[in-house]
Amino acid sequence: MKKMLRPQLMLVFCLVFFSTQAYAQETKCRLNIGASLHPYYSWVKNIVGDEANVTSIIPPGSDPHAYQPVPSDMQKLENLDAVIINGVGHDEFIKPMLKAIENDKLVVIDTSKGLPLIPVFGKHYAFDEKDGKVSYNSHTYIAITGAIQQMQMIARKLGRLCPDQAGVFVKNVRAYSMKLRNMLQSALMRIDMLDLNNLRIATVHDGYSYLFQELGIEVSAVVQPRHGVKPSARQLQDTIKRIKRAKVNVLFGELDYEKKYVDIIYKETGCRLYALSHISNGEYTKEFFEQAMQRNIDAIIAALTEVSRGSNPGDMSGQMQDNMSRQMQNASQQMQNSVQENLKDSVPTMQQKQMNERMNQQVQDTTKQMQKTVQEKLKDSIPTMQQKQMNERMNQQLRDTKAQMQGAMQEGLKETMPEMQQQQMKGRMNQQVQDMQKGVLDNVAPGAPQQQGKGQ
Amino acid sequence: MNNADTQECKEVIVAPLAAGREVLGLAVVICCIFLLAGLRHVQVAPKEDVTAKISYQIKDVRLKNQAPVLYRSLLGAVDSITWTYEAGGNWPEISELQTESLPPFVGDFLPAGLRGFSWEMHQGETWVDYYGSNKEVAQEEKQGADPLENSFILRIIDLRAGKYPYPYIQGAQEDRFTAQIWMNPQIVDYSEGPLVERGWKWVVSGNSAVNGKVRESTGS
Repeated sequence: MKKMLRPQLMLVFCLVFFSTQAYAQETKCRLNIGASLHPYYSWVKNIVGDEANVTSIIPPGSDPHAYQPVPSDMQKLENLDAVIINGVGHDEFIKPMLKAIENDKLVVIDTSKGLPLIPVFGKHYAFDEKDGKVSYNSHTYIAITGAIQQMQMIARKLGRLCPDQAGVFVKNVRAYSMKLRNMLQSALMRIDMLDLNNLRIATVHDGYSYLFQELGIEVSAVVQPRHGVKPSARQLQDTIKRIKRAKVNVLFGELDYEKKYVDIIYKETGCRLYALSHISNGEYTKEFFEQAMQRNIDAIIAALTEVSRGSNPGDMSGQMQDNMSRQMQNASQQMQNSVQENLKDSVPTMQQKQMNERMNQQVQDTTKQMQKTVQEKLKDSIPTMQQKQMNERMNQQLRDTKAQMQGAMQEGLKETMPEMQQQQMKGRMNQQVQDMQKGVLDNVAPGAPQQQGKGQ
Repeated sequence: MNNADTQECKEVIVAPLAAGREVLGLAVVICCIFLLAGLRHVQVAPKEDVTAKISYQIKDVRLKNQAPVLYRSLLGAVDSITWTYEAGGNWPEISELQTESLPPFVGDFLPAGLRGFSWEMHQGETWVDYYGSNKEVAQEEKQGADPLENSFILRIIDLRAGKYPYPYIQGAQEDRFTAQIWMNPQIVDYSEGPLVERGWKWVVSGNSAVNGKVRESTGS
């Protein structure tokens, strides 16, 4: 009798267990969270993992400063439980949307609340001691320490909305904070090794004060007073004066900043030019923030390294050159490895020749195409004097890389391989050539998407 | 004939009317304009920031040199500390925070100028103070370097515990904890008792959620 009961008991137990699990799944809190800017999307994705749905309010590629909401955006907001906003002027488009929306349960998480803010650069915009009016810099997300504080606040508020997930959110935010802190620590260590007694920097756009502050770097001048505000002739003249007076030797800009201003400043002051990302344009991904921040940090360190070395101010952009060189070498190395791996097996001798020729042709075509595209990009971003030097060096680098690639291929093709593998290899090589080309273009516009809007 | 002409063309000088009324009218209009402008100013002027008016407070935008970095870093540490407290029931020791690689208790995460800080933990009844001072920089200042904010206290108060140190924020009750950053321009050792009386300044943010109503009476 007992033996008969045992399987039945087991069955009942299993049924109870699985139904409880299913019920728990059904009742599990699952938030719908909206993000007004790219960094917030990345942060929230890292905080909630797969435990909530995260959506961007505006489509990728849109400029948050000039964005005009459409009805579908309102529909998005209607379905959200929480929305993450900047709160100090970087996502003004969302304010009328929040006013108009009929969603009483929507929780607005203002990331600037409780965050120490930096006044906008310059005497015209800084706080006035008497009336206490302060105009704050809205780029609170282009920083690591600030990002961590904001993420902690977001995690706390989301935890309140969804108490059963609060522990997961806290755990995730602590892990992600550690990752970001390590990035900062690594940057500070690299900066420590440099002699920066002569460093004086200016930025085209007042968007990086938080980042520079935590790196212990002072910004001496800002060219563009505010988003989309082009400097007047007088402001430009003042800026040039300030750059000269402060002996600024590095200018951090954005590639979409109008070339004529950069040219004027470069011509008048001889500053080196480096590009930083504004982290508010491109695809929405979990990794977007950390990748963009890493690129910015790399660009800053490249600039500081060059100042530390005391190289000629008229020299070409070191950051671009270094990054391009590094990425081209990486791509070349990957390609060689791929070729050698695929060539472990054999192909008929005749096919070897044909393949070799085709690959050589492909490398030559790609090289030409890369040169052409890079030159076109450079026309809009780098002062003319720098372009010539850069072109020469780039040509030399491309020649070297090409020679390396061809050599590796010929070496690898001494052996043979089956026809199927040839096809696979060809596909992979095409992909890698494309990656290589993309890498070079990314370097020319580090962190900046191809069709970034102006005035960021 | 001549006499008749002279009589016809007799010059008559008409004295101007007294302008007093017009002047008065103009003055009234000008006064009205000023009055309206004043009313409008009162209407649109930002509300007074009560917290920043208190003598022992300082706005974060007034911090000099690298002090804002340390301030920011201390604020960033609050959640990690409170989470540890909630999980374990005890305020974490400095060594614990260092093991967790939490800035500013680990100097590697700060710019070079802020790495001279040494930290101590002092526990109150319902709060904890993390006190840090930068004695290295103080030595340099004696030799003529720019003065810096050299002593900081991060005070975290458990608002559910009931007895709070003076002063504290009333109105931030939706959170269990409230954090205060105190700064002293001098190198001062930590001692028990109200910080206000020992020259410490409470750093407040103009945009802070901490800008609730400061409780002036009671406390420990």
